[in-house]
Amino acid sequence: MKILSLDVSGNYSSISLLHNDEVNTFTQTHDRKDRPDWDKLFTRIGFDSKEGFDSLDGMAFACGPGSYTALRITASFLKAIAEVKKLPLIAISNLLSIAHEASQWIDEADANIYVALEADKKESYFCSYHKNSHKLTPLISEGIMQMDELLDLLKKDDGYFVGTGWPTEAENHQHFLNQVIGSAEPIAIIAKQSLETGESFLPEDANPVYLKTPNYKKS
Amino acid sequence: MQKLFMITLGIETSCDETAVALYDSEKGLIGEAVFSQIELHGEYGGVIPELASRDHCQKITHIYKTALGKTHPSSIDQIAYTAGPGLLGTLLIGENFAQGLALALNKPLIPVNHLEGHLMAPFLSGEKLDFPFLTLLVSGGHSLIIDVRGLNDYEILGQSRDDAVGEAFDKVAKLIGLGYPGGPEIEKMAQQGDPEKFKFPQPMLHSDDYDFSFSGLKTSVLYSVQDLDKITEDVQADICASFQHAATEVLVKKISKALIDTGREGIILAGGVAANKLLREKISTLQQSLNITVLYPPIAHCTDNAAMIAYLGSLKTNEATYQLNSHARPRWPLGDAIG
Repeated sequence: MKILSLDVSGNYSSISLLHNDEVNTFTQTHDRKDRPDWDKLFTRIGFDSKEGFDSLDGMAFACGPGSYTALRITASFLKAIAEVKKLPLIAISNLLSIAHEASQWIDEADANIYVALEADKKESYFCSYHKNSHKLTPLISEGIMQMDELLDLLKKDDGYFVGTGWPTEAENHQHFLNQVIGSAEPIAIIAKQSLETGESFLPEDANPVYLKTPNYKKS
Repeated sequence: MQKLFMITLGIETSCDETAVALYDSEKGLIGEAVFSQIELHGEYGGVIPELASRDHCQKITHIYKTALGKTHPSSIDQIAYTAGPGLLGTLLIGENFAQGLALALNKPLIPVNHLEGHLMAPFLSGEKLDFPFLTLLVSGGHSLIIDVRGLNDYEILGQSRDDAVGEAFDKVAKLIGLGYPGGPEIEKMAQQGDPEKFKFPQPMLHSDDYDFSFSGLKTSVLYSVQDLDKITEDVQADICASFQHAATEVLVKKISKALIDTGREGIILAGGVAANKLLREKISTLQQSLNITVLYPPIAHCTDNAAMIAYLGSLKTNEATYQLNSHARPRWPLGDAIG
């Protein structure tokens, strides 16, 4: 199975090409305002963007939560390719992707993983998962968590903590996994598992997930 | 060998319309789909950029498929898209969708200026008008008088110094409790009103240039509304008729002055406000008195659409590129080269 994945949801652009059990990944950090250079990303993993799409079984992208504009840029770009090439397009949660990457660093067969990604200074995008052997199960729905609630979780200390959205106290916490930074690699791996279920993934259904809707003034 | 006839796909996402169209240089427009976000933004009384971007991203694949119909994607020869001016977030949706299509189909891209699309919109239906001519481009984002000397050869003779005329329609509609967008609401209400009831100012009517100003007119409506105890339906109708009379009077006087001063013999009326019937009546009267040619795009192509983008792209094959660089520019002055 061959899957191309992108994660352009934050301060980095990451691309992976999964071919059976091998994954080739390139990740580049950049300013949040920078727009991704698609040609450069394809070149860095040796993906032939003229012929390569025809050999794929599917594509996937990190659908958020994250930078709204970056999520939409990626989704719009891949939607068009998926539509023309009639490829499945799978939208994978950034929170799940980070949890998946974290699970590779946890030796225990059973563990809780708490993921918080920065939304703004006061609150973070949040989800918690239970790792059982190699399987990740969400414990709650993805949502927004306030800093004081996150601090309480750190104090409770019944799992591992990952992501960019934790209060500064997390940095020195014994169960904070600061080596987990996110990339397109877990996106490709999760997408492979999704495709193996036989489910269909249409481009029009692969949309960004925002978790927040700004409160605009109505007339 | 270059094909004699080409199919250009056009994509428009500069504001609150998600639109895709196919223009065949032999057969004309062969496919078109538009989704308007009017309902989405209606309750806010104006376009909310973040909501607009979200909706474009969600709808664009469906709109593309609808516009394509039974046309096979492989028959597309090139892809034109609006790169500006407009809302950056919404422009990027169209640009990246266009880039994805270009890559997957191995076809070139043509980033085009949205305003230039409006200038060329009347030619879509096969209308003829020789260069040079003037264009009165009036919409929610622009009020411009442009001297069109040829493709890529434009000079802005006059523009609004504050609100665009369509913006003034929206704001006045909001002031008196009408819906969004204000243009059609005011026009409908004005049919029952007396245009002489309120003496609203006609700003810059006698200035020695071709510029407009609609902010003062809007403020004058605000003061009139504040003086009223109650806005009945009759009062609403009178305000609409009086406001519409004042706004269109300025537009017609300025384009008339520009025609006389430049000696141009034709004008194109473009943009969303070009659908206004009173404006069209007044321009028609001007047409007879000055013996000029006037072209109007069909009503459906007065507002933002992808047909004009596809058509413009078909005229700019020499600007096509296989590069996937971003050209999206929220401010892209007419006549400037691609950024």
